[in-house]
Amino acid sequence: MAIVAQGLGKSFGSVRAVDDLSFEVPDGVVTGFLGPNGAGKSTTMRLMLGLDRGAGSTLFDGKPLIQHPHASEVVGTHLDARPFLPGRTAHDHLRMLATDAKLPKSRIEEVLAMVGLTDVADKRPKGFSLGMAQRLGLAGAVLANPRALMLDEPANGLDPQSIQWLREFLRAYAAQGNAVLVSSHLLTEMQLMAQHVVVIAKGSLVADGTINELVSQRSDVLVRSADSGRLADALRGAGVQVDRDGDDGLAVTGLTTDEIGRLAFDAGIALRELTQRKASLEDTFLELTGDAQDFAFGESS
Amino acid sequence: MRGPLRYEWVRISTVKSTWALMALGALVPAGLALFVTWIVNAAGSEAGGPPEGAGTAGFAGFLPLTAAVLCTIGAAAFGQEYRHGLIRITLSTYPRRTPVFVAKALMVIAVIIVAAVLAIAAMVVGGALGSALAGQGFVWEETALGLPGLRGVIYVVIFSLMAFAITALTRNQPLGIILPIVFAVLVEPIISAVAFVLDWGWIDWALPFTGATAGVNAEGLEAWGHLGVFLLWFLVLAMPALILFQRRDD
Repeated sequence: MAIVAQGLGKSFGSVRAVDDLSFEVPDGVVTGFLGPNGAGKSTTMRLMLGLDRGAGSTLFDGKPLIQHPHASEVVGTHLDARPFLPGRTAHDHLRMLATDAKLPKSRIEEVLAMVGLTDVADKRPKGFSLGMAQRLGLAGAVLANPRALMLDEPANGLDPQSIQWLREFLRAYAAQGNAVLVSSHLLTEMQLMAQHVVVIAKGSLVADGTINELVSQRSDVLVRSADSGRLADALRGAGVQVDRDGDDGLAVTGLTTDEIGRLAFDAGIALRELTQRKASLEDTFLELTGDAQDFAFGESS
Repeated sequence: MRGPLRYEWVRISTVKSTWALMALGALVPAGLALFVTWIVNAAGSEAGGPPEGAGTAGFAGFLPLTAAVLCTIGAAAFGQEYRHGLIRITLSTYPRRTPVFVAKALMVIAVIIVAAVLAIAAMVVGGALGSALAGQGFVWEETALGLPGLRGVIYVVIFSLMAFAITALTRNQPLGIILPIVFAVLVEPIISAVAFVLDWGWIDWALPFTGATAGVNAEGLEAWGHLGVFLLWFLVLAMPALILFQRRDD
């Protein structure tokens, strides 16, 4: 059940928080939702769920969420770090969420065991750590076994083991044919978790595709030669983009190392170095969103 | 509608404060009824007999106290959700907002009816114990079983709904609790006093809390008229609260 967001828009006073944003969250893969602080990720998620009022629409399995008879079976959400009453036990919190799909008690116990909270099921979560709170939020999201998940920063506060568990859980959940949208600031984690990413900055879409597509667009080949001028002419003659990189280096986009080596050999140019440079998701993210961060840091001394 | 009602029942019944407030709303006025009845009758005995018609202290006089305690349950219906961010979970689970609003109001009404009946019963028992302690034997206030008792329950329910509507309107639970109490014990008495000087007899019909309190003790159409005005005031607050709930961000 894919999620399709169309023309989402939202303003807060004179600030355009989300601007004509359209994207799709496909089935079967984890979709990472990335953007700098203040980019509009959380607002977008709330707009998609109808929690915030704004322009555009979001279709879950072809229909707005409000038209589904049991929303909890359509999409599970975890939007806040501590989305529960501190005085209500974890079990009762889930019992409340189970009312829509009329889930049995056994299902509540199953998800509590899944997130490792069985021992504290009857405790009030006011003393829960951030990690435990995130687990309870995740338990609530998957309780009705929905066909889509929307999670806002679910890895915040989790220890490395829990993050690894979350990554494997979400990939397995998506692999069952479900749509999973996860926002996160942890780019290295997102590179391991997500197969598809949507990147926004200042409320607008800046990239939408698989991680491989995004990263390969920003990867290049570094080639060094004593005769870099002639090599550059030869490469440009092949119709590829060539930029200077240091005294004798060239950054080449659009050819593989094999193709560049063959071209240099044919031109009789000796090479000192031929290296494939693959951008990380972090590099790609920074390039895409470079000047779009709200409240940016000053230069470090 | 059944889903939101089930949700509301679990929500309201799984917090200790609901049960604590129900107990407080019954026991404190019951204790006061006991004490006042005992004091009045005992003092009367020493002076040669209880004052004529002293009977028990009467539940109606303590109803505002019960209402002030129980209105917290009404305010919490929305207040807890906004305070702890639960409203997003609620509206993700039940995206249709009108049924959520109506389910909350209905559950508040159901719980407050039970709490108010228990409170009135406790006050009658308190009054009977007070008269027994004063040596008058158990004197049961039988009017509690009749229309005054019914009007008392309605009064407490609408009082709590006022707190519910104010909280829904302002998204501020303390305000939802404090405003009705401040109006009932401070603002309206001042307005009444000014109106008395100006000879505005009609003002008691316009003031929600003053009128409703009088309505519990009144008879016939006057009693129901006062409670009707009280209900109208609730609707005046509830309608914009519902419209805003449908239109606002969460």
